[in-house]
Amino acid sequence: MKKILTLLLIVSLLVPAALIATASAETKGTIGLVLGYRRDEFYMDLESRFLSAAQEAGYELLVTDTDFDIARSVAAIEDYTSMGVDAILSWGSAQFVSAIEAAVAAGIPVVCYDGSTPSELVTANVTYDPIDDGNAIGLWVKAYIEKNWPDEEVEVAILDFPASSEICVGRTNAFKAVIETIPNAKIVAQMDGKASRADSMAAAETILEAHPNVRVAYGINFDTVAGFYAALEGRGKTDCICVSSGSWGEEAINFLVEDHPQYKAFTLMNPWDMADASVQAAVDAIEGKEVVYNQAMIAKTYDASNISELDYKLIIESR
Amino acid sequence: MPNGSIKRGYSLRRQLMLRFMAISLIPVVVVGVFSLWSTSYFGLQEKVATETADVHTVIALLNTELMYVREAGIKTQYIELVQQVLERERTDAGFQPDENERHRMRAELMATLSENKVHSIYVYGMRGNVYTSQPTVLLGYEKISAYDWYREGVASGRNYFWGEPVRLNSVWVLPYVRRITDPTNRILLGYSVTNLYESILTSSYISHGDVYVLSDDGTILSASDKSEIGQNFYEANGISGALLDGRTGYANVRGKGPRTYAVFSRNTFANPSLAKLFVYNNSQIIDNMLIMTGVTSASCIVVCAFLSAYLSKRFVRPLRKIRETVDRMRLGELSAPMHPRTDDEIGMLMDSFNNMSARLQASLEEIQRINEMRRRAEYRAIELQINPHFLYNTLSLIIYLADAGEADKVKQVSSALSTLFRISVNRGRELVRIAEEISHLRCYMDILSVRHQGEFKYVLDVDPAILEYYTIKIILQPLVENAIQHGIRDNMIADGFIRVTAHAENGRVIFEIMDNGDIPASRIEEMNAALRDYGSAQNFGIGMRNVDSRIRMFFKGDYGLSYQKRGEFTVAHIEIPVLEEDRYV
Repeated sequence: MKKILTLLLIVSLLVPAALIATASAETKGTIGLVLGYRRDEFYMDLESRFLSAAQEAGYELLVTDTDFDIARSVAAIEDYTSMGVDAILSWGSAQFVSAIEAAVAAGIPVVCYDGSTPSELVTANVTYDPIDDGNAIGLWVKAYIEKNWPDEEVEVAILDFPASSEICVGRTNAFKAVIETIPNAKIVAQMDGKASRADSMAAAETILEAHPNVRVAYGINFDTVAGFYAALEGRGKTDCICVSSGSWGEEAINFLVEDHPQYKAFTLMNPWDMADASVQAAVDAIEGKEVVYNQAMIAKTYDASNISELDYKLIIESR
Repeated sequence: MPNGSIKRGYSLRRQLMLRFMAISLIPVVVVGVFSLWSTSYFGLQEKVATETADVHTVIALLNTELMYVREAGIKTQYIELVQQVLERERTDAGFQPDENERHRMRAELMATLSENKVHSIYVYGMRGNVYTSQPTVLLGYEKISAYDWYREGVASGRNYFWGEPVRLNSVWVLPYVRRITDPTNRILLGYSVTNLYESILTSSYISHGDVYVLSDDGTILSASDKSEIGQNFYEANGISGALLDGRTGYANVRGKGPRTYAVFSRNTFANPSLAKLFVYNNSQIIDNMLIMTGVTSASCIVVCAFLSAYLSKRFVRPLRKIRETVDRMRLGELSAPMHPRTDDEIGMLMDSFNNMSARLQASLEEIQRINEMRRRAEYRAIELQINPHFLYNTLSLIIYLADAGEADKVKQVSSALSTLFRISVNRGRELVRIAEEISHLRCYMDILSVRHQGEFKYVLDVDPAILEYYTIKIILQPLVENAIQHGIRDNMIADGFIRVTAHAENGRVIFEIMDNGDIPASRIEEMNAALRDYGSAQNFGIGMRNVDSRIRMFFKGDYGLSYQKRGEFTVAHIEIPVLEEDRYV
């Protein structure tokens, strides 16, 4: 009888302890995400993948949408530091350095994605290499011109986004560097499309007014070149091809799948790859593993001939 | 146990009733006390949880308000003009901003304030110059390093910190201080102080009760009662500072009436924390619980009383049955077995009691049988002592001898008879010296020799060394009588001969009566069998069985009488222990 009572007592003590242990084992900790914004498909897919990747790794993910506002992002990093999260994932900017260094000083590893933060204390900068991006799409345009317009003077127009000093300026510069190597190509215009479709359309109309014979339109992202295309449509101009860097989205991909006569090629950054690499870097840092500081990812160039190689349907369906 | 040490008290049934009730009441009392405690405790916990949730709601509202001032402070850091002016002040020891620069700075700082939540922004360069969004620098902000909280915050090296409330032109403002650094080399250029209207915070919690906005060390940054601003919340309410260590907590407040508590919640964002005072009045709940517990306890007592009465009666009933049986046994009724209804301890006790009763009854019957045998043996011994036939015959012999004029034989027989009776009736002693037993036998033999003159001869061969030993009396005479009567006379032996021997051997005294009577060996076996059949009531060999029984009852061990055939002689063989004193243990 005594043994049974002792056994019952032990079981009654162990069961709640096991439940508590099970409950506490559900999450390993918390990661704070400083999200750029939620206004395009790339960042929407990026956020959802951050959530699922963190969950798979056993961490709860707190998200702050900063709308790419520097002050709001700095405040978010400081709030995560105050909360004592286990790691911070933040879009990168040089203006975050002080806040990020304060977080690292508090023992919180910080992984920057989609742009780097120039500080040795940052745990890792996970970015798509803008130079490689601009270079790749430039080489695609060069090959297209050599094949289709070998003997024609080809005017090229660029819609950039100087506010994005690292990524978009990097893409643009790399693209221009390749174009300048094409003997029969000439950059006739470069304007700020503000990374938005409306602003880019307005800028494109200005360019087309001055340079109606533009044959190649380049945008630093899909929205930018889509704005350019809207201006082309408005003018009924069909002899101009549109290419862009840093693209992602169902609309862009479908243009390639359908072999659109003017949307010809985009470099597509897979947000899932970036999210997976960023979360992995954060988890490794939490667990004390060595993390590669600069993790430059390659944005592959897609056109109608190879778009089928991209498993985009899975990402679209998971939304 | 002596009677004097027996405690007199309640009957077993009453004791059981009282103990059952006591045991039953313990859980009732424990549950009642626990219910009271848990009601009070969990009631408070529930109230604390509710108030904590309310505080969290206020924190969310507060954070929304504070986010604006923080963003304004951060944006100030990145204003290009601010960076330029402060850089010049840092690098140029003689730098003094002209009015134009101050005006441009004021315009830039004012542009940062798009909502009417921030009272003003002040920027301090490394050489003490002050720039503000206001037309003039207000009193108290000319030299902000005069404030302790500012010096401590700067010394901490943190990027930002909340200062303590400052009264500017009759208005309370809450300063938010940020470092301004060069974004390229992160060199410290100065500090910005963004002043939030304290009333903005008040509006976020005014409808949530007695809420206080606290700094990390408990200084009241905002309160409904403005006179409390700047006091230490924990000191003012007598609360231990240990509460500051956790993210949330609650404590009893001293000096603000009974049952006043404070909940505290640390702001998880980089903003001030919150505390709230509330009153938890549980007296009505406690009163209700007391009534409920009382009613429940009374019900339980009644139920327990009935149950304990029933159970104790059921438990004591078989014990009473046992006691009644013992009483009957005490009165001699041993054949009244109990009938156990269960196989539990009580049932086993009844079984054991029945077994004990049966064994006791058998023992009593055995004792009665032995007593009967003893009584018959004693009767026979007495009968032998005063055998009337023997006396009658001997007296007849004396008369006959007197008539025949044989005075010597009359004298001899009379003397022998006298000695015989003297020894037989020796004050009732059971043990006599062997010398006396032999003398008694000799007298008897002398009388019979005269009476049956010429029919037999006898010899007494006794070791003198044993004469002072003791034996139970009159064990030889009956055997000699048997030898003469049934051995010699019944078989009409012409030359009867009787030899009586006695000696000691291996701690035993051995008597043997040998006669030459013609008794067959088969008859000897019958005689031995009759001697071993103690319970037989037959009259066969009464004398020899009486002798054997007396020896066996008196002495423990394998002593007694046996018969054997030794050549033509029949031998009665007696063994008794050597007794050197007239007692046998």
